[in-house]
Amino acid sequence: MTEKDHKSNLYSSISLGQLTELRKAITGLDSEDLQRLSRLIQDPELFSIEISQLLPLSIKKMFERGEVDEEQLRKFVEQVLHQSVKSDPGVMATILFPIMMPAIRKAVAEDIKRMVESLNTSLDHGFSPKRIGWRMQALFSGRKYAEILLSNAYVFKVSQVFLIHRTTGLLLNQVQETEIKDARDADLVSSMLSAIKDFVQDSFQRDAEENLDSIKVGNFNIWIEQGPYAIIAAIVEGNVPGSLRLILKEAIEAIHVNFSYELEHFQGDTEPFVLKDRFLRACLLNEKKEVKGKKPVIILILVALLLGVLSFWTYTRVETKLRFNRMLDELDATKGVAVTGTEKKDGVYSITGLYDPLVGNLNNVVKLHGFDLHDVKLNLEPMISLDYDLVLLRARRVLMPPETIDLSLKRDTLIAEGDADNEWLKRATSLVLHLPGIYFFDITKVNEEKIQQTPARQLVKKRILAIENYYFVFKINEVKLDSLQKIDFDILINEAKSVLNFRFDQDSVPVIEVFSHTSRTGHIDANKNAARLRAEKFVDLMLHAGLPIETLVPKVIFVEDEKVPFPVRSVSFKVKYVNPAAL
Amino acid sequence: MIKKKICMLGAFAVGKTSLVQRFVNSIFSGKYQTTIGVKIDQKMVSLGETDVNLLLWDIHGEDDFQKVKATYVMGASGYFIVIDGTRSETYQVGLELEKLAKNAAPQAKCVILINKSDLIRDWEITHGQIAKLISDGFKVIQTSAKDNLAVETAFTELTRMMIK
Ligand SMILES: Nc1nc2c(ncn2[C@@H]2O[C@H](COP(=O)(O)OP(=O)(O)O)[C@@H](O)[C@H]2O)c(=O)[nH]1
Ligand SMILES: [Mg+2]
Repeated sequence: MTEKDHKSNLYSSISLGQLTELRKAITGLDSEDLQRLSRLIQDPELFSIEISQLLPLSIKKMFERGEVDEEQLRKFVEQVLHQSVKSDPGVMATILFPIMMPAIRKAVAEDIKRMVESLNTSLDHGFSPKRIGWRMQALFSGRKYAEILLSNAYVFKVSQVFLIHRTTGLLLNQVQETEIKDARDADLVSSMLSAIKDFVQDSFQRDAEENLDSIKVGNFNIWIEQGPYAIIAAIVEGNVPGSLRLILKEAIEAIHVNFSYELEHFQGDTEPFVLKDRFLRACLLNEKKEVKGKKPVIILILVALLLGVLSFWTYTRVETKLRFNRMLDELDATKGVAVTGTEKKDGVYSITGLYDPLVGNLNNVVKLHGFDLHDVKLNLEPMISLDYDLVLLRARRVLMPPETIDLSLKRDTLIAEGDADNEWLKRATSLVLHLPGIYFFDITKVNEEKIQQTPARQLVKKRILAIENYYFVFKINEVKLDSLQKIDFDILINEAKSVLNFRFDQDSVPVIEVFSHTSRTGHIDANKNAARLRAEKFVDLMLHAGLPIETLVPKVIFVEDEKVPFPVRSVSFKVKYVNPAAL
Repeated sequence: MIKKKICMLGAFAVGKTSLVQRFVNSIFSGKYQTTIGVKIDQKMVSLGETDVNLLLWDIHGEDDFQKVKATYVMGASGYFIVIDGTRSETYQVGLELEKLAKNAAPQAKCVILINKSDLIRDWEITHGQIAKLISDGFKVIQTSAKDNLAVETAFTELTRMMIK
């Protein structure tokens, strides 16, 4: 008999009631007691609460009986703490930071407060003829009032505050006094600051605990306040009172206390920090605070306000104009683009000129400089540029050299090097001299290959390759061809028509599979649905362009399954030969 | 929106800066990089329905190791090891840097780029060496910053690995 059999026999021969009675007799515990104990053991939380109630009592008893020497115990604790701090002070500091800092600060707070108050009184000049003079100056010089104010010292402002994740340097949140057009720059600035901080700390070989607390960049200062997981960096201008340091410290502590979980487990999602922002805003201090509470002289305030608004208006105009000029410079410097004039009408800039469609979509340049496409219109006429890069690019597009051929350009001579078949060479030589900017074609370095296929077959194979090289990327939920895609699309349709007209043999007909690429990232079903719609809409476009419906097969494909993935939200093509019976 | 830090690692002149330049439209002037030794660019990548803002850290320097400090890699969610296909010595440097990065950022994802595929005929890196990397479990992509081959793919692939 095995052990198991033995056991089960034993159980079945004693009834449950008997068993309970037996247990009670042996242990003195009834089933309620037992359940409570087993609950305690299984739940560490409960268990520790239970013990924590007993522990102080038993320690007290031990002291009373003289079993433990108070002196001994203290020495032991001190030693452990000492060891921990010595091996890595950071660990201890991290644990103590949220608890200790408020206490320490409260102790010095009174002193600082007194100092700040005396500073404030000496700073606060309220409304004076001097200030009105500055406002006038602001109006006529086109500079911001605040700038003039600052250049005349006395006051300060905090114009921007960043909250930066310490190890990654990523921007968690930021606030600023006025709205900034392209908030994405702040991400870069944040990473930059973190790199600069590391750099300074590294290069001066400071003690790891001694932290950098301010950096001077041009006209302004960056004040830094560090916590274990995050850093506050405040951009300040002017004569900053010491009280700002205190406010920054308070903010970084409050953030550590309130976001302790999010900070410790940060994976790149900044939403919680942005949504629940109250602490950063408190750091945006400026001159207004000191003016508050002065006797208002209504007329003067109105005048000042008006002048302020005027100068702000001037400022934004100047800023926009400067930005516009920078964008123009960039456009003009782009190879294949020539700007001939600009005009402003009803607040809309229009830029006239010429561009070579080969340079791609120029709307991106406009957007990159923070302009909306409604505010800046590009009226560029297509042209053919003879710039070196563009001539070569055009040659590559038109001649479609096989991979074994390298094309290069030397003044007005196009040079081909490598291996090619006679078919390509013939086509290339007949086409090349139609290309603007090219007058000679040097094929002395081409090795001809002999290929037995008939020219027609060869041509169709080439066209299939060309078709399979095209792809179109679309915005989310949209299948619209922009002007450049339209050009590609027309060529594609032409190639497709000639391929569909050709049969390699009697048993198969060509079809074009229209692949819509999507990804498994995110919501798979939603992605798949969107991709299916995209494929169908694209097939519609092809139908309209005159391709027969029975030759078009929409398909969805995940980039994760592809060998060489196409971009997500793109459409690409594959030509297949199938048995007509299978259609 | 999700933000991620990515580092470019590799020997001198393998094409780190060129790859980044290909991928982003840089707005920062070169002034900072020479002083603090690192250039940072950013680019938004959309994966399916998620937007990811990549912050790309590129070391500026002429020596292979000296400037690669742990702080540079720390906190990165991913990094590229860039090897120059035409210079076999950059293979070893790349592997050493990989070890360094693995230490500083154990959770980070890695993609190895064999760059300058436009010069594939002059490559010193062999098929065997590439096969070895793959069998060691690395994701390997052959790129050309010059002809813009597989650059976008490389960045998208690393991003995809990071947000999985
Ligand atoms: N042929 C070729 N040259 C490249 C490629 N990528 C970079 N280069 C060149 O290699 C040199 C070093 O590039 P760089 O990006 O400064 O390298 P880094 O030191 O790694 O940042 C430059 O002359 C680049 O023009 C490439 O894909 N193909
Ligand atoms: Mg570089």
